[in-house]
Amino acid sequence: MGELIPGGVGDNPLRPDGVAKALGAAPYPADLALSGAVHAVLVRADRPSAALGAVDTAEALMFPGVHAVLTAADLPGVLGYGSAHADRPVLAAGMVRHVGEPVAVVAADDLATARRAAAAVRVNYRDAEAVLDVAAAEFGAPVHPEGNVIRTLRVRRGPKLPEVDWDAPAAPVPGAEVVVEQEFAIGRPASAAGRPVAVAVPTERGLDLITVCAWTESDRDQIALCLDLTPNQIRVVPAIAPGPPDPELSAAVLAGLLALRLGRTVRVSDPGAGPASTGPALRARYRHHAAADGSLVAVQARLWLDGGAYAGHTADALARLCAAATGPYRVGSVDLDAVAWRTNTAPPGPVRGFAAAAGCVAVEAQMDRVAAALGIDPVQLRMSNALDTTDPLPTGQLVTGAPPTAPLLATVAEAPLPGRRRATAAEDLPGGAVGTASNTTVRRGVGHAVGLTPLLPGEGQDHPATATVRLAGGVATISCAAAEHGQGFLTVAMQIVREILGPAEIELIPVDSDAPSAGPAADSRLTWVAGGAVFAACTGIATALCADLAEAQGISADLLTVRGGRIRSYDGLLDVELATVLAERSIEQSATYHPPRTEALDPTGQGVAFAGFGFAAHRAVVDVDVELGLVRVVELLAAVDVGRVVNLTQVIAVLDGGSTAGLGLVLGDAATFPTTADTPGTKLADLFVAGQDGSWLGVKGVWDTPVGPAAAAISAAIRAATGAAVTELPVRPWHLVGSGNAT
Amino acid sequence: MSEPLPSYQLDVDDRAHLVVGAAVTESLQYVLRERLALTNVKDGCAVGECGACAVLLDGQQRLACLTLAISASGRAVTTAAGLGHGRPTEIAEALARVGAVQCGACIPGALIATHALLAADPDPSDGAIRAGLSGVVCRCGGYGRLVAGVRAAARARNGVLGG
Repeated sequence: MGELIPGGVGDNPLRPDGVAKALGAAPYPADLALSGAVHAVLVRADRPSAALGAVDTAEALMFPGVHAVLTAADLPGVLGYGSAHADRPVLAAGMVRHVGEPVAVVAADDLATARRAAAAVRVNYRDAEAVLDVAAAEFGAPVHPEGNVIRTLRVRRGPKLPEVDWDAPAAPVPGAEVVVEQEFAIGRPASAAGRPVAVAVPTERGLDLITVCAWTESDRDQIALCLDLTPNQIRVVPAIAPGPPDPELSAAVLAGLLALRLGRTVRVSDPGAGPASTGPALRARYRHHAAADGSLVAVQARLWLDGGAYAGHTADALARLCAAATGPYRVGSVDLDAVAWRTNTAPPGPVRGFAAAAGCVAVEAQMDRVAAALGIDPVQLRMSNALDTTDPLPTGQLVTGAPPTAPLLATVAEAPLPGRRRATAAEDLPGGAVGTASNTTVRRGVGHAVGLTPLLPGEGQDHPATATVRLAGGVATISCAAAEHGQGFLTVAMQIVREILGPAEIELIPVDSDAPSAGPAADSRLTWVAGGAVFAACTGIATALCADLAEAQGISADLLTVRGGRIRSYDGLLDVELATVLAERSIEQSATYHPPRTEALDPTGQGVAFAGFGFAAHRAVVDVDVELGLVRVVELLAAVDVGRVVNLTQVIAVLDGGSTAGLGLVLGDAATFPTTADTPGTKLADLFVAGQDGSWLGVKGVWDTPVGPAAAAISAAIRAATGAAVTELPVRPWHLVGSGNAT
Repeated sequence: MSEPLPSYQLDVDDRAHLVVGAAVTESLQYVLRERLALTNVKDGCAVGECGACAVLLDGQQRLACLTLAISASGRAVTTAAGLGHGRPTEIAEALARVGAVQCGACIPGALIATHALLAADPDPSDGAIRAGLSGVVCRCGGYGRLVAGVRAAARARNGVLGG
């Protein structure tokens, strides 16, 4: 693209809100509407499965300062919501289906009163059989009137295999020398969502709702249905988000309902539903059949994904799991029986790329076992099976461009290993500053992993994004309803505008649900799709101004290009500032960007279901105290496929965060996040910057990509240090105590 | 509900605030945010798990959600905004510069933790930084950036001091 435009694409400008956020000046929704508002909290179920009897609100209503206690009977509109499938009640009616399900809402003069009154709401439950593990969903009691199956995918690709008999011992299929079978149970790590908070303000047209949204337009439409309003009666104002939004919309709907009833500003602030899951979120059983040279003849798997009590986006997650279910490798035949089940667990909150990541952990563990069975170096085995452009994924889709499995893996594998020295400070030992571990029982392990992650909403979901850019008097304004929750989209949008229009100043116009949709903040989508809309709006302005200049100069506009706010002719003779051409006028352009078209998977699980894939490889070095079962990650090294880099600082930050999410999958749990005591941070070995096909300037997202390979590499390193199988995540000390290499 | 409610003064970032009508059981986090509208002290978990609401109490790091507000009366409460007396400190600037600020909800607490760490150890090792910041839960997971930011802030400070 030639020399760097200051602040443009590929430069490293700082995010516009960094210092304000650091000082606490950025208002998250919990920081809004503090004086004069009515405060409300939810009453949540304390059991996973029960018939809901009478909800006795009399005692709560007697508290001085309490305005209202509402239950499902008070809801005016449809009971169920859900952007993919509307089966999740705002407040439980008839049945409680998971711990933490909202049952009632209590509104009072202040938060403390609301909390005290909420504790006085008496809920009568009649406990029912609960399905707490996906393994029990098939024959367990129905969780929901729709039954316990959310989706089934029977994926068949390549030369036909005999039907798998999971009850019989595994035997190599024809052409294979070995078969390796393992079962996996992988728990869902803690959701990154903040506590549910929503502020509702009654207005002339209906309601203003200030809340954390992944997709303002979709949230508005769902909330309107629940409140029996029309969408244009509601204006959803996305708040600055403390982490990604939870799909639970109860706080927003109930804030709106209370505001309409009381005619006052209402803030619902709530501790949330608590940890999502009790059992593993993915139970997988894999058989890998390999020839003597290590080539993968066949992969058979049974994949059971826990969707919780309501469908949410689990059907989509199952497709992601299947597309990535054999990793970035060439496989002869693939046979997957995948089912997404309902259970009596809370629907998952936002967990980065969980389905593909959990699949990656299982596949990579299998690859290590195949390597061991054949006496082949595990990195070499991966290299020799690396996916190429002509090798279909389990879903039949080809990865366009060169799938970078081998170069990414080589980059992390060939980097120098950290030195081994006797730890002198307690924080350098497993268990950290508490100081329980001892040098003499610490074993070191090194593990490698590589994986691929489907990008963007798939299977024919279009979800375009619209953005508007205006240029006047050297100032560009950007309006785009994309939900920024820290990913860095606002910075990216400003960089695109500087790259093309080069304005002296940029203003970001706050937008709400009255603005055109930018689609969901999900699936590593915003840089690619919402960025594409900003890019198209800017190029629209550039094209119009080129036409003006061409006409004035009597030349063809085809000879002109625009970059960094200057129009230049191909021969360099003409070099004019956009501002000069624009003069006293202003120009505004809206543009809508559609991601590449995808299609739904067919009955055999085949189809071009995803717009693109992100690849990453990690190498993990761990120390394990084998007497205590404590793990310390010494080094986490990553090489990641990022398409074109728009902002390196942000790429590194997102890569760091995604790798931490992977670490949390291994060493955290549903209630516990990693902290600085658990991770050394992620070192970047290299970025693989081949442009993404079908994207503007070749960009792609990187939010979810690092999660699976980071988790798989840490698991492999623990396996190498201890000899433990590490097929159950999170890893607990008792999985490792007394493991093979301990003596 | 019938016991008398004491009134007391809280000194926050060099300004005195009168608290009237608060129950003695109210936390410093609750009183700062809900009664005094000082929302630069964040509400992450309210149960001492996340570190977002950290403040300095007479220079000592404390979680506001686990501190009774009335016990902070007569002591100097310093929030992230107060560390630089209204201006961004080198710690805030360093964290923003290296990309440690993503969603940002944990960063005010991280500023306090960093300030307390550097006050005790102006040139901490990476291990000491990791131990010192281990009470901060960053849901974006950007811990490598957080440690890099603390290291950069320490260097900036030591440079200013000629160290």
